[in-house]
Amino acid sequence: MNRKLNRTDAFQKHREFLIPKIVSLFIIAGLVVALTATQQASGMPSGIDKIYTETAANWALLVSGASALILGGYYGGKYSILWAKAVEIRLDEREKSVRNRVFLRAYRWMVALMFFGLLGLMQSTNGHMQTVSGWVFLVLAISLPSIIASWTRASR
Amino acid sequence: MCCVMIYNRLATLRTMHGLSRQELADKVGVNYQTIGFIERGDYSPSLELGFAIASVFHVRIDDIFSTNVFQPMLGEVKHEPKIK
Repeated sequence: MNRKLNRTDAFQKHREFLIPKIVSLFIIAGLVVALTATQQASGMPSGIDKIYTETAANWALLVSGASALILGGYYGGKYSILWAKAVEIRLDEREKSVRNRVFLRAYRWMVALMFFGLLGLMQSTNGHMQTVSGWVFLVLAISLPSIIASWTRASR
Repeated sequence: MCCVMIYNRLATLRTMHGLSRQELADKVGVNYQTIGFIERGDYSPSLELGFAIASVFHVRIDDIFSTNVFQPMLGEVKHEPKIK
């Protein structure tokens, strides 16, 4: 009985850390699928296969964006750039320090990703790829602090 | 001076005064999880928060926080009634 209770407690304890990790993986996987499918579609001749691949890319992007909103909602806008000022009043000093650390890491990652992303885009002449990349960067800009927070200790 | 370990006996004091983490958190104006982080030594509070916590228990700040490991409190602190 005790062992069962302990197992339940352990599950409860880890569940709140596990959910954001899973959602953040959904976001990253969605973005990777979107970029890969778009890249593959660009090399295909016009036809039903190309349409299916581009549709898959668009759906992956949509799932990624929805997951980003879910993750932002899970944290109550704590790591959102858009609502940072509004949320700040209900954060205590520890939560503010975690948020600042998360924002700094997200900024570093974003600069690096934009640098390599722009290098890639400069060599690409594919208009659809450029559009999808723009959406990928938008989703990342919104969700990167939450993604990093979900893998950071003491973030909840 | 980076990463000096700050020891505390917040959990002992809180339990002695019959306060839950949530009650203490409400008194000092922080999230209840922050109290847990402080008790486990995962977070070192600011001076303001340290003084606020000390004033709740009517003790000096160095009775709760120290850079040295605390000795057992037996005979050192009298049992006090629950803080209203």
